Amino acid sequence: MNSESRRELLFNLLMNGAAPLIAILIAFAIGGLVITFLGTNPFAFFSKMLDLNFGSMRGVSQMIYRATPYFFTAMALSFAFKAGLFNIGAEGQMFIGGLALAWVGFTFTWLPFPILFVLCLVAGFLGGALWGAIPGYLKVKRGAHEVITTIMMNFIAIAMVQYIVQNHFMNPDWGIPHTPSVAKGAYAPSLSAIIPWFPQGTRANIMFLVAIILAGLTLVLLQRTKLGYEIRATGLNPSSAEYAGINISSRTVMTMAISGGFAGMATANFILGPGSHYFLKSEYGGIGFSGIAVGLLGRNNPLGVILAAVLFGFLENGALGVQLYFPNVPRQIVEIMQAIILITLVIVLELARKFLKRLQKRG
Amino acid sequence: MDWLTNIFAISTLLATIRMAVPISLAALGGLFSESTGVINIALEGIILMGAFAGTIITNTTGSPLLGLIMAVVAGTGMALIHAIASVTFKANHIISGVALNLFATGVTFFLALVLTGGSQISVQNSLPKFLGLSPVIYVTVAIFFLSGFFLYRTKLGLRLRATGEHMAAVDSVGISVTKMRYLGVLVSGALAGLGGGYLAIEQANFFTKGMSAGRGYIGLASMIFGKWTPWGAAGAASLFGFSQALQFRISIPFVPDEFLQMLPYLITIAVLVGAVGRATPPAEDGNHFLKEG
Repeated sequence: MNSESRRELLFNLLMNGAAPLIAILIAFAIGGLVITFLGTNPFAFFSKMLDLNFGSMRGVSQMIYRATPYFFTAMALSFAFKAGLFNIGAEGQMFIGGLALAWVGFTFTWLPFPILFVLCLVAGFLGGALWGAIPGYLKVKRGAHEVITTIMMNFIAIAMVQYIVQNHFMNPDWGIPHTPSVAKGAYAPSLSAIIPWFPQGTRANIMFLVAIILAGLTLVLLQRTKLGYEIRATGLNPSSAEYAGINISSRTVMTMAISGGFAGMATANFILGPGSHYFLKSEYGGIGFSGIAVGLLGRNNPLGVILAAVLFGFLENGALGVQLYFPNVPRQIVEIMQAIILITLVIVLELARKFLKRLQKRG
Repeated sequence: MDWLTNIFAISTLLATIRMAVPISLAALGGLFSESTGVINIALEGIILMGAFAGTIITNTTGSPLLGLIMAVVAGTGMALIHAIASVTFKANHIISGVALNLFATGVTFFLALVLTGGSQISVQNSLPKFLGLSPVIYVTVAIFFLSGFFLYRTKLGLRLRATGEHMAAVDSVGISVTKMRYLGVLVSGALAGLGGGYLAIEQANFFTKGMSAGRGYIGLASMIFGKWTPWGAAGAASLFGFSQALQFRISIPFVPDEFLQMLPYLITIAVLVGAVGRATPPAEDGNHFLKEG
């Protein structure tokens, strides 16, 4: 192995392997301290979590179910990042896309299974893409920074979705505002229907496989196509990309649209997968924001994002279950741990970068 | 046409002033931070943290003044983390800010549950009103006068602003860029923390999860619309205060409440779309200071 490839290997090991792991360990340590402070044994707490997730195939299946939507909102952040854009608007894009896909699902009820299912996903993608493209367009045309506009679009989406569901789709007898249920043709088959040894009756569904396929396709798009090259070039150095003849404006809008499209499909896991089959806004709140942490923890690489999403699924599924055993620890402990992962990751990455630089200088 | 007269009523003006306080403090905070070239998206989480700390301390000590002081301390503490990450460790300013916002959302909700068992905590008492308004409002006005003087008329203020315009030049005359940036970020945290404390103790009389509701970001938009000047920021914040005041005071026929709720956010986008191009941020915004050698 020559020194160049050895250096690259070291870089990958440190930045993409060790740094996220250290951040996760620190978050568990701090989370453990807080749990101790509340009078609960952290080892008992975390080993119960481990047992709930990995103790049975059922646990694994529930973990996958919880992990799936994080993949989509995280990809919204990570894909935009490739072009040097900060899409903090996954939350709003997720809501708009979710409402769009539910609408297709309960409107075109006569369509048979794969067709309606796929149409729903397309609608979710397009809804999120529209919501993502607007800040992209405003950035290109008027220089409005996408960080603030995407956040504002979140608030607008939340109010808008609430208005539409309450005034147009809701039946007053239901109590909680939600849309009608999608037709059978839109249902996402559960994983047990495809994989024979998977436990029956859990909610894990083919959206997890869709996530894995999309991760692969995204890698191909970014690494092997002209569009992917142009997106990455825009992210690495916009002025030289422009000099090379890349239309930065159109690439910015397109990147934001694809990025929003990912987030738009996030709720398919809940709406099309086994469960209630309707759009219920309160069920998804926060998944868009957590996606930011998932994307950065996955180092903005589609495969890393899957791993990070599974970790967040682990935390969420564990937190939901562990409440029964340790009721004095609120399950929001995992939200704090997620934020600590992100803060420490940012610092650990910079330390690793400094360390690598020093090594390089020494030769 | 009741709603039309309501828009121009005195009570709407007073509500505008009340609503504008946390936004203008966040805007001024953003201005201090960006004067030194550090982008501070964490203002949102700082407001939330200030609101929470202020509520808890007011209720445990019975003193809203101590509560407000604690809000300032909590805001400064959050800002210190932002400064450590983005100045000392040279992390991306926006990522660090986003991380702190997620942290504040989680921590305040978690602690509210642990301490009270619910996500909403009512504030037991607030400061006595002066001429019908919270004393914090007068303090805010004074802070704006002092900041205007400090940033443009004092040596330290000029050094702060110079750091945001040309770090290398500041460094070459022997001024520590790191110190200037810490100062700017910490002051921004103190101001936004005060804004959060005011929001919970003086304005809403309760804390609830996520109550900052975008005020930190709206503050940043005010700063941009106000062209990075204290008085411009105050004017823009008043515009947002007005749009929030409308949302609570009127109900326009045929316009759903949800659309009034969107108004501050729609105006923020409109302002950004209209303002940028004519306003220039500090030249070193978001940059890291990398000393050669």
